[in-house]
Amino acid sequence: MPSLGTVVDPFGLWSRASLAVLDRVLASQWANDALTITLRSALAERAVLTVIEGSLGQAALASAIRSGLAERAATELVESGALARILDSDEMEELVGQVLDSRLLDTSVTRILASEELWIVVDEVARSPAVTDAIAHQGVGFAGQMAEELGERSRRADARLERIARKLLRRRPAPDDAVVLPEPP
Amino acid sequence: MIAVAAVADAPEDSAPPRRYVGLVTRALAFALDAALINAIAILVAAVVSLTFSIITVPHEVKVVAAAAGGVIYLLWIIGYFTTFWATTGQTPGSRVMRIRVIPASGDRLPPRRAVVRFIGLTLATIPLFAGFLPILVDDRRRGLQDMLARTVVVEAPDEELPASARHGPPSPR
Repeated sequence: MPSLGTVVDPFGLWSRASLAVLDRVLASQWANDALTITLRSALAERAVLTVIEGSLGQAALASAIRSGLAERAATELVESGALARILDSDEMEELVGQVLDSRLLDTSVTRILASEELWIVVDEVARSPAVTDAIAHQGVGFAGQMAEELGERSRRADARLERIARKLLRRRPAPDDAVVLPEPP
Repeated sequence: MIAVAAVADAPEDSAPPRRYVGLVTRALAFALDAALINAIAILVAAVVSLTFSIITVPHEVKVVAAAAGGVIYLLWIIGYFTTFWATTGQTPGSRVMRIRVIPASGDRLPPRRAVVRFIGLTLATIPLFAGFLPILVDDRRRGLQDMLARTVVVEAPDEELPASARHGPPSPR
């Protein structure tokens, strides 16, 4: 049995005419102005706030997380190179500069320094075997370097003093490379 | 390049030849040892003095204790040098300066020759250190104490020990 639409408008002329009219209306300046006024109105603001603060916003956020939208967005940002462009941009540099100059950073640093947890972490790190070993190794290395330097200087002084003594006593200079075997037992 | 008087050969293994050590290096090592000996002696003397300061003892006991302290100080000095020379060949001061006392022949310095060396050291000091002057002109840089105890002082790179110290005490002779 044919439907009522087929009977009333057997060629679909009415539907096509309606769509054409709607298309014209949406493309008109009037529709554009109406949309602008609506979006700038307090009503639109209230609607958006209602969506964000209400259960609809929560549901949308949960759904986005569940569906991996955030991961996909992050992947897309990285793979498309958009993230690199954003990070290299002058705007980002300016933004970072503003953050660094802001009171927010000063306050954050002050609060971190005042927190007891930070000093517990610092204490733990300072007591860790890796750090104490590194400090001890550095101390020993420094002492070794000092001893080596002292030894080199004293040996130069040995040679100089010996040259002077031998010259005063008119003895032949000390042999430089003589190999002396130990006395037989 | 550092001029050297002569180079000691390693007779038993293929270790590189070692230089004899001169007067300045040995004097520095001796000064470090003297500082260590006196630091420990002063610490001990301070503890003993504080003890006597709060305990009432007769004057005669204090005199005997002072005499005993002198003897102990002397034994401490002799023991310090002879023990290190006869075992590792290195006093702590020598270790810092990377030098070692070794016998002119043999592996390890016998304790008796270590004592002789200490006596030689004392004798070399008495005539205003003149006993050390031969170090400046001797080809093996030996002082009076080295000549008496038949020892030489050579360079000792790190972690180098005489064969006897590495493998335990020598077999009885």
